[in-house]
Amino acid sequence: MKPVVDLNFTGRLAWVLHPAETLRQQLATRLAVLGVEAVGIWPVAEASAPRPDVVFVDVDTGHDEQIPWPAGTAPVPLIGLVRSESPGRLTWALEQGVDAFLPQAALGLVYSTLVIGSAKCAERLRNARREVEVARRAGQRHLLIRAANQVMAREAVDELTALKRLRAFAMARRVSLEDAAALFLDEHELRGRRGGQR
Amino acid sequence: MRSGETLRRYRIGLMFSTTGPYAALGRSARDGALMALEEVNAGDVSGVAGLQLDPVTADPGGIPSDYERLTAAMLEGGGVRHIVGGITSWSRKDMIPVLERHAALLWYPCPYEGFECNDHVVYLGACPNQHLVPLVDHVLAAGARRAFLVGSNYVWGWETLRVARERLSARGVEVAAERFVPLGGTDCARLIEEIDNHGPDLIVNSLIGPSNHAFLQALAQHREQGAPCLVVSANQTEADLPDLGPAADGLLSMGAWFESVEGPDTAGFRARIAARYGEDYRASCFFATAYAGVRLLAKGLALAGTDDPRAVFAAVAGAPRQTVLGRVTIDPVTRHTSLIPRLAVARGGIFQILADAGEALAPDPYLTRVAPAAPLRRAPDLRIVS
Repeated sequence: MKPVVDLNFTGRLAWVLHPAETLRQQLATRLAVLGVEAVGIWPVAEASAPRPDVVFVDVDTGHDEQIPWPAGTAPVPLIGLVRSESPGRLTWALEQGVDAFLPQAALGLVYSTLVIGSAKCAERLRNARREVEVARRAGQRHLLIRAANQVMAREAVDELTALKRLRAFAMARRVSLEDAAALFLDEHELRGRRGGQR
Repeated sequence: MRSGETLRRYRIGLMFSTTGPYAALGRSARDGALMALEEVNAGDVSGVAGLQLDPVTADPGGIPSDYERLTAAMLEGGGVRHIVGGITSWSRKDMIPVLERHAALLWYPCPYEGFECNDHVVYLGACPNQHLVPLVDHVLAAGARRAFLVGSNYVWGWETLRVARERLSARGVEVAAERFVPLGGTDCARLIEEIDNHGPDLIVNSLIGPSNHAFLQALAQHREQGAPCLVVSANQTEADLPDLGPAADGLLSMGAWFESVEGPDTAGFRARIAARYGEDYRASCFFATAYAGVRLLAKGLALAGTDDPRAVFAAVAGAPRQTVLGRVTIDPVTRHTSLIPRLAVARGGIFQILADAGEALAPDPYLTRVAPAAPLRRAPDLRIVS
């Protein structure tokens, strides 16, 4: 399904991590037009500060301690405010996994930056979830092999047919093939053990 | 001018396509701007005595690249720091980079699709919360069931129809089709055929120029034989009526000004238009907005005592100003203007006001304060197992 693009940010809270009060104020004014409340912060947010829905950070002077999540794992859009374009600072921003950049000379473009940053953040989070799921399923391959072997032995079918039956079982249970294999083994090995106890 | 006062002369750019695919709109806006300049220069406007505004005109002929070239020529020659002009968003977006390079200011007098707040533009025309949203809400209240959307193939058409589609769909109106016609294109046979097939009871029309005229003429011929269908638009004005003739009858339009608007300044304004351009002249929202824009610019120049664009804008924005559009305020942050939405129907060659909000509605160029439409019901997610 095509992901829904976020186009309205009314009611969201933004952190603006920037040393200059004037810049923080200018960006807050622009964000207010979009219905976004901005909290100007420098250098580091108090522990009690309300969690943001989006974070703007000055690329020139930003540092890891300001971002309350490990690099690349921010659960909200992270937007780099660009001034000097120095390669080292841009590298830091990319290592932080910024979802979009906003030139500080073009604060009038904050809406498009929010749209792009939110979409890229959603994509980043989807990819992260997918990677976790792929790794989890990869860790269950031995169960899939065991289950396929059992189906082959029990029903005297070849490997392809065994996999096809497991896939049908997975669809009926609305789970992944690997989870279906685990379920199949649980049910059949449990039944086998119960049978043995009688 | 009183004796002893120093005459302050400023050159004001007027960048309107008075030839080309939307010349009728460009001529209308240019006429309004020129009339306001003449009134300021004649000393007829209180509060701006001592100003002499010399027009510097250019006609890009509706050719997008010429807007950039002519804007650069106007600003590079020196002396011009304010331009009143542009009709299409395409033209405005082509002018903006040049305005930014020269720190100049564009006074843009047209309704547009919103989603922009550039520091070198004053948005005098309505944005969607002031035109399309109230228009769609009106037809929803009237009980539309199946809509056909048609617009010119550029950002005005795309964005206004997007807003219309989302708002109509969210309220359960079926959007049968959404079609775009190239700017200046006049071949409407396929569109009429599709409308015939779909049988909508509502057409949202964001066509401009000759495309609009050709479509409404073809639709009028078709409707003589078929079922009645409401046609609504956020960009139809009196500037279109001479070309449309009886084909405009029944057309609903939302605008910030129509000739039939009632107000303390309207009768005098109409009389001055008749005196300047003739009794038969048809003024439009483009005319009135460009006129109001020049008057606001003059006020800013007088208050600031300089033509520095930032100072002029700061002087005129943020406070209510009486204009021919009503009592309006330019928002200092969004740079958009509060306007009074007026709903009118074309009948017998004029637009008759059906509803007048009476008070200016604050601009919301990013539609952040418009109540979001209820979400659509979606089919449950199906899982495909791999």
